[in-house]
Amino acid sequence: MLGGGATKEKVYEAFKIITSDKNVKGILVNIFGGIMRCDVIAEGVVSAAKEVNLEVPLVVRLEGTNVEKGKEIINSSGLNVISADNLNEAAAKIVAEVKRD
Amino acid sequence: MSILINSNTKVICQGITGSQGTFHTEQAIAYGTNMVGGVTPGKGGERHLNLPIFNSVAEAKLSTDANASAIYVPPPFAADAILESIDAKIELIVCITEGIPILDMMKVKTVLKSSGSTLIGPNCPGIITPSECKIGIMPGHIHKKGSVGVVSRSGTLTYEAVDQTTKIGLGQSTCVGIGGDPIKGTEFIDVIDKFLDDNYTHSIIMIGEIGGSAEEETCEFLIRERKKGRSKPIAGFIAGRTAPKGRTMGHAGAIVAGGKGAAEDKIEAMNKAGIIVSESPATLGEAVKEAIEKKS
Repeated sequence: MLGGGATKEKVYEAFKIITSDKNVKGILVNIFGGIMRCDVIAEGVVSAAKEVNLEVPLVVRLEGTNVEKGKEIINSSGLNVISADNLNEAAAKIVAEVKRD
Repeated sequence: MSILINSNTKVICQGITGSQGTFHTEQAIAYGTNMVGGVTPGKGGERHLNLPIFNSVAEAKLSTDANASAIYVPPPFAADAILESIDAKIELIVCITEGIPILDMMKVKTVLKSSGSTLIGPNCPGIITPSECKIGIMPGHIHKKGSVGVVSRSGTLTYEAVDQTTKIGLGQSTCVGIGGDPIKGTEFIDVIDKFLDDNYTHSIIMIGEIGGSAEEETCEFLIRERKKGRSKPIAGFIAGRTAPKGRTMGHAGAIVAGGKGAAEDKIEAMNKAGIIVSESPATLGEAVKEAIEKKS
């Protein structure tokens, strides 16, 4: 849960905390950006995923302020990230991914 | 049309020269909000985003005739910023700041009660009347002028409700994020009372969360009002059904403590008050549709 006003660094730290838990089988990032700009979240997610050598599936749903910029950052990152356009779709996708592993 | 704000609302921003104040004032101007100035002590006389800057709210009001203020002032100074606006008799004060000490807010609440001002927040996304006026941090483009009044303790879930009501074509009359702090200016009842009176609000979405008893009190209010013949279709959602007891969930006010504030109790109260409770935040649009169909 990222409150309003998180920075790229905070997103990165949040990601590190989640991935350090070995019980985590998949990650769902759901952002409907108001004060949080989607591009800031996307940058944080991308740099974190690269840094921690992500081994679990990652689904990202971005919507809101600067959403196009955010999606662009995710898509051009070269990372294996599954994107979703709404909350139900995101939930279904991460459940499917986790079950497959 | 709307409650609390419309295209005639003249808005100033306290903390306008800060990064958040700058970003969101730019967004507000782009949306068409009638921004008339900003306040940053010590920078009076300067211009920022092509708006005049004043040293105090009183000066800003005198020069611009502003009747609403958006506050993006950091937590240690935010309560003073609210008090300054109350003192200057600003009608509507919207405080976005998260992290204002509870003790500060207790003082603000006391002053607020004997004033003519309305405070929305703190720790909230703000308020928007689509196509007319946006005061806050919500993404403007997802909104559509329409008939659903939205009131919520959660920012992100407000956007979900907005997005879904836009997509099913109903749109929104006014959306109010009342905020996630335990002590806040405006409660569910205040907003819903206004929605019941507003001719342009045909249905309501109410998004609550664990902690406190504001949802239960609102449900009792709705039952009382219905007996007087005042009612509109309402859909609802309670966030935090799976939250462990005694843990604060994101918002300072979202905590199940002393056996009070659990999601089940709130959902039960909503059911009793005739609110269509959505199982998921992804089905709020469908829930309000169901509420409208059930009512007609």
